[in-house]
Amino acid sequence: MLYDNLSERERICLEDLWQMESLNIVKCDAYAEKCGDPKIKSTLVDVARAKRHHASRIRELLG
Amino acid sequence: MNDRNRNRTVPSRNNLSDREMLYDLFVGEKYLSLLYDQAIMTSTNDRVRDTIEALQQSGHQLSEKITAVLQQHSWHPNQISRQQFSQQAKNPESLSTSRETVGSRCLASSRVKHSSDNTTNRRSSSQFRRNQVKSELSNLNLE
Repeated sequence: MLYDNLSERERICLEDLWQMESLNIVKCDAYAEKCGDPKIKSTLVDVARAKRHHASRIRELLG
Repeated sequence: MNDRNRNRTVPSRNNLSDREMLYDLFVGEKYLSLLYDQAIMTSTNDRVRDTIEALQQSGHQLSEKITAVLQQHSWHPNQISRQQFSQQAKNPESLSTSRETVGSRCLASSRVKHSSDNTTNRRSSSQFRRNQVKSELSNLNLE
């Protein structure tokens, strides 16, 4: 799904969102690996999975 | 990445406790929500706006999950007792290192972003935020 008619402002906002979601994915993965509590670890893995989906949707919007 | 770099193992500098890691993600989610708000208000395309709104909703659900875990362990900031709060106010150095993480720093940069109104300034604050992201990644030794 490509949106060629995105304005510069929209594009900047989406790029910022993508950057932050990507950072959070890296953090979730790193924290899940480091985490001692299995319940927290499982939550972090779930969050990372959802965030990967978010990041890929935003990437699609950016084209 | 060449073979020499690929084989090099860098020791992790991540010494955060479970509480600090969760709190860091919690603050990051709050900041992300602000970014989603900004993107929704900026968008002129209905389909893009709908997608962003759906992602923001999903982000709120993730935030609820993290909040639930924080509350289970009595780690949520709202659960800090009045006594602990006054101790922290008297001794700011005792504040957890997580308060110095990406969320709070990014919120500061967000204020910079809101104060600027032209495209050049938006570009530079965006670049500033990207540099912060890079710095966070290098702190985690994952870049």
